[in-house]
Amino acid sequence: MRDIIKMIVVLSVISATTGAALSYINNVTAKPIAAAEFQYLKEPALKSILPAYDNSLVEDKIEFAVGEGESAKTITVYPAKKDGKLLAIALETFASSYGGDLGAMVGYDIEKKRLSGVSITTMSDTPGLGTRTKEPKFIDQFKDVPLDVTLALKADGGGIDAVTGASISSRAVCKAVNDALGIIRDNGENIISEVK
Amino acid sequence: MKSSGLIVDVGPHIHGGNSIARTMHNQIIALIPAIAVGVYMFGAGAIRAIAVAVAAAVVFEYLMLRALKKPASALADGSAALTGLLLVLMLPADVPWWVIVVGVGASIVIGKMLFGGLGAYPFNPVIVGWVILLLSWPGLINKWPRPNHMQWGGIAESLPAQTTIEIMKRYGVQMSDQFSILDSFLGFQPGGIGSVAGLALVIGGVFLIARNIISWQVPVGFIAGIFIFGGIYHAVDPTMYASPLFHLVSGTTLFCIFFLAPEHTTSPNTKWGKILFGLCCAALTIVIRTHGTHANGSARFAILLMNLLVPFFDRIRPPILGLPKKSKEAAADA
Amino acid sequence: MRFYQEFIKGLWKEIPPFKLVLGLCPTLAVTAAAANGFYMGMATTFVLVCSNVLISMLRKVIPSKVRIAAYILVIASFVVIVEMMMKAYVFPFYQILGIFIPLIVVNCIILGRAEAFAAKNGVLYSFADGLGIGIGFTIALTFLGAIRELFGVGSIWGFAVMPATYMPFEFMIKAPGAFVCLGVILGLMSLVGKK
Repeated sequence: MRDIIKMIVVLSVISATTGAALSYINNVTAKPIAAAEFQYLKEPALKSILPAYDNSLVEDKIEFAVGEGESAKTITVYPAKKDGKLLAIALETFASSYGGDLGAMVGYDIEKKRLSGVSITTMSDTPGLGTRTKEPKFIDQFKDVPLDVTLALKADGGGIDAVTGASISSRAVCKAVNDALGIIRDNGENIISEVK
Repeated sequence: MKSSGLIVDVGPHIHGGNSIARTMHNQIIALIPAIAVGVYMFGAGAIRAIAVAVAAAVVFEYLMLRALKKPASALADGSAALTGLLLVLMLPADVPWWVIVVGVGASIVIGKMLFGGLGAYPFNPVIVGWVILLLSWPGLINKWPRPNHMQWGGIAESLPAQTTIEIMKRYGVQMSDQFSILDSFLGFQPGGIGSVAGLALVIGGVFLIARNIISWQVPVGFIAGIFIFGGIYHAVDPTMYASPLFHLVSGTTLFCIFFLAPEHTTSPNTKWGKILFGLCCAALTIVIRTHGTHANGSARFAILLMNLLVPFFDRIRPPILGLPKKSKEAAADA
Repeated sequence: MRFYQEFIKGLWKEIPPFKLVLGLCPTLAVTAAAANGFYMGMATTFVLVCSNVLISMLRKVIPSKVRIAAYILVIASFVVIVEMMMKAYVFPFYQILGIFIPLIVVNCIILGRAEAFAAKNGVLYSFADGLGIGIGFTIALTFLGAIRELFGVGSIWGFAVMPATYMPFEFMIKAPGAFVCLGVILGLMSLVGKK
């Protein structure tokens, strides 16, 4: 009996101590981790699709609620400003693809009212096939697309050339971009007024 | 390998004349028609490549024999020369010399000698060397020269030289159907020096079977498998899947059937084991070729994978007679 | 003196992947480049030293029936600390090592040293043991990484050392190359040890 009590006490004390230590370290590193993740994962994608900007995207980003009922979700919008003037916004949307969720960062040029570019942020598709959707030949097709268009692959009656052998990944990119287009169509004015 | 009975007389016995050297030399002889076709198709470059490979193989084997303190007389059995020869016959004729040297070195050192030399390796050393080359310089060993004397039909004229299998994978069956099966069989197709010449390989293979160097079961099982599994795909949708005859004459299939799959150390010992081994190799070949990304090496990858299962094929054997009832199972497990 | 012996044994006599043949998963998986091996080794060393010290301190308190659970708790906590630290301050290497950082938890070296050494020896010696084995592991991983990087990429620690015409022997930085390379090193080391 005493043995069992001793076991329980020792294990609980160790668990509690390590748990406390971990939560402390988590608190300390949360900010640097967020900064590092942004710097290495999101920023390269954002830089490639937004016009030259001089503001801090992390500080200016806003959370924006879209959709109603079950489809309600919060998206993060990054505004690109130069000399205090809002040039473009970028937001990340997801679609399910061959190897799991595919994330696309979609940039929207406010003056031209067209997409300024799309960049793949996360994907776990087949290397050499699905990952070829990152190549300019495919991804640059989404540049300068106006807002009122619904994109589709040529095989599905649209105007986008799919990557050979990777129609599922290509379709997922289309869907993610369509979602972003829809969000900007429905909420564009609100988002812009909020980030200004 | 035919056994007329199970009775063994008391000695003295007459030596049957069979030896490792005889086996290896006969295999080299059987490759001569394929080498001749390769030289005809690809010119003097083929001779250069073969010379480099055989020389490198002998040097590597000698160095390894010295390092492992084995008698250097083992060189004379010709097994090293055969390994080098088989490897280079799967490579393009104009491949850089150092690629051949590295590939042969990998075959002899990693594939063969580190496992204990002839008779001890679990994988076909030739395929091991080739896979190492494929992983390292896929661009160099899959860049095929256009064979001399070859008529390129129709649209294929505008394509870079690539094996008919690559054409099937990239542009579909309609495109690869433009190549005549007979031309491919005679050797008029891009590919490795010796692996393109289907007819010459068949002649060499039949010669080996007739001389009892290799048993007929593995090649027959392999060919039957290509027809069965390739035929199933082809029957389902001829516009999507190539015909079994195409599979048989394209790429290195015939080369694998007669020279790589029946390799003595890495193929099963029993009759049914061999047939099943051939069938399984063929099934994997077709599956890799149809669904995989490494379509070019499908037959070789299939053999490499099936090499792993050879110990299990070897368990397909007649029950041991004359054991007491209880120990029968124990013996079967041994 | 004994402190020195416990430390030095990890550098040759009991160098983990080559002599103890433990911790092969990270040894094979992350040594495609020298720097990767070094960072993996450092992360493992940190966890090893910390867990050895803590487990040695607690060795009289922990009941033997639940000792493995307690060890794993301690080890896992340090691993999570390392993971968060790497994420925060050396993110590119966190991206390269990825899943192998959390997998340090199940690295046999760490549990092995806890069970075989820290649970029976004092804090000071456990510290020396952890440090020695950890540094040995780091050296081994960096060495293996350097060889594979040299032939497979033509550089060491990111600096090109081979002539520009060198066509990398990419087999070395792929998974089968790791096995062959490790096997050859193991063979050579036992050859040296024999003499």
